[in-house]
Amino acid sequence: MATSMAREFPRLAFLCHFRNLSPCLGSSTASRYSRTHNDSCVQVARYRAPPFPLDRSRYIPDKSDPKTPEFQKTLKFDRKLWGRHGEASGLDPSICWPTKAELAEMQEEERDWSPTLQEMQQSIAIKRSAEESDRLAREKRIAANMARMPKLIEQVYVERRLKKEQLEEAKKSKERLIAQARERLGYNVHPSSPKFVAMIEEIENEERKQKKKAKRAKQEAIKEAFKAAMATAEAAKIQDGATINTDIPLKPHKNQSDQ
Amino acid sequence: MASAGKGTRGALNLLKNLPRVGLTNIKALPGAFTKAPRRMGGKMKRKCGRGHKGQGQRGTRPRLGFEGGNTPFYLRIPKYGYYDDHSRRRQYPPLSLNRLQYLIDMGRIDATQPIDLASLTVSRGVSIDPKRQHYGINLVEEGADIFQAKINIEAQYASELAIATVERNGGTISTAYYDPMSLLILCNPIGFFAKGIPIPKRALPPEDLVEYYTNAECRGYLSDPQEIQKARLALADKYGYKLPDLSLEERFKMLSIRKDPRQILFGLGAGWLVDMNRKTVLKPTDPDLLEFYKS
Repeated sequence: MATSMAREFPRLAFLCHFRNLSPCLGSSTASRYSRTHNDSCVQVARYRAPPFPLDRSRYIPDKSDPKTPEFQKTLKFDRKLWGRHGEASGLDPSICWPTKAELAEMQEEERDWSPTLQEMQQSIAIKRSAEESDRLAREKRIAANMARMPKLIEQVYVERRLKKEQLEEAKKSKERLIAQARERLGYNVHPSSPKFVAMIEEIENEERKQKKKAKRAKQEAIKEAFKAAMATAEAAKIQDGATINTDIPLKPHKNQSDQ
Repeated sequence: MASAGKGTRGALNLLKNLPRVGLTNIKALPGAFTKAPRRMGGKMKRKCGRGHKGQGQRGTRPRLGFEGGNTPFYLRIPKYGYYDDHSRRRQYPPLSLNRLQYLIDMGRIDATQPIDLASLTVSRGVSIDPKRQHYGINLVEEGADIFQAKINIEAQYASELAIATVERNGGTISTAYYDPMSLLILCNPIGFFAKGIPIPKRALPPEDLVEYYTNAECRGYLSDPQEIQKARLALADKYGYKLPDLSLEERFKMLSIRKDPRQILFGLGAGWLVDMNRKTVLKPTDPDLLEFYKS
């Protein structure tokens, strides 16, 4: 196995170290080999990163010396010295842990900025339930609107048809007017010419007059009918001595006049 | 080596059996290639490689994206919203199963021990830089067809097929969150020990990651172990393989090792101080400190 590895990857062969164990685990090449040669092995990692240069220079500053820079007299520097040289630094390792003030600050920071898992899960649950209720409300709204949909579609078609009819009506009336104008004047008139406009006004006035006339005639007829009714009622009263309703308005109702 | 014998004869025998000097094992003497310190100025006496005059020489070139007074593109067409916050997004560099198998085959990773980011970075298998918003590795499924190792791996993100592949081979996988500070310690523990401060607590995941790391289907480290067992069976059912019984396993103990949710390095707890020279560990005794560092 080792030889085949060395053949395949000669430059990396030194990294590998094979320990005979059973069963063969952890290696595709190894297991292929073990299947053919009925042998088993486990590869053990031998690669190690180069060591950290700890003892390259053991410098312990003299704090009483005025020439020593200030930063070398700090607690942070002492901690670094201990971390690098351990006991050889001659410092008490208890300086490495946070002081009371530092600990209080760290605790405060943790309290202010890092919620517990339960708190986070609760806020997630609240958020999820809000999303769920929003979704349900939206679905409900959509369902209600969809139920109204066929009616609205029908309405649109009706409106469209009405509009079309109105347009056709307008077109026809215009054609009729043009035809009327030709009849009156004896020649073709452009609808935007002043003659045509004057003629239309004339026609409209006539129509208005006729309408007024018809209205007056109708009112007259109603008055006549009312008078006749009164007369008959009077006659009946004289005969029977019964009361009659005199609250009937003299003027006909607006709706009636429009019809 | 054969017995060397005594005296001159023995010495000669010893010499005969010692490894030969060859092109493959010769090495320069220590200090043979020390580089002479570069002198001030050196070869670059005139312009120091910065060219003639102007912004290039004086280091006053305008900022990135500046168009010499025009409204820059990134302000003129502010429609590229998919780059919003890109510098602060969490990055998970991928590690494929193919690459992992290669690392194990090469002996760069010890598959007989739990694999975490510390062992992956020390073997130079992945390069993680927490300063570039890296939050760990993403175990991707490339190489799922050739992966054969039986491992206990801790990733920060894993695809479903990658999880299935590891578990089909009789291994275990978990996904765990490391905050940037913990990740820095995990990727460079020696550098951290040299600071001479105790190992801190690992922070809990931020709120948007809590759901992922409490999910048994993602093998989150905060999820219920029983749920994980159920999810393992469900995944075996989904991908159609028989889940190996780990309790019968020779390496059951190794496969079931998990870190505490507040622990950063295997074997080292929060609040411990490491003496690298003596290879010992110092633990705090102050009750306040113990209270603070407990998980």
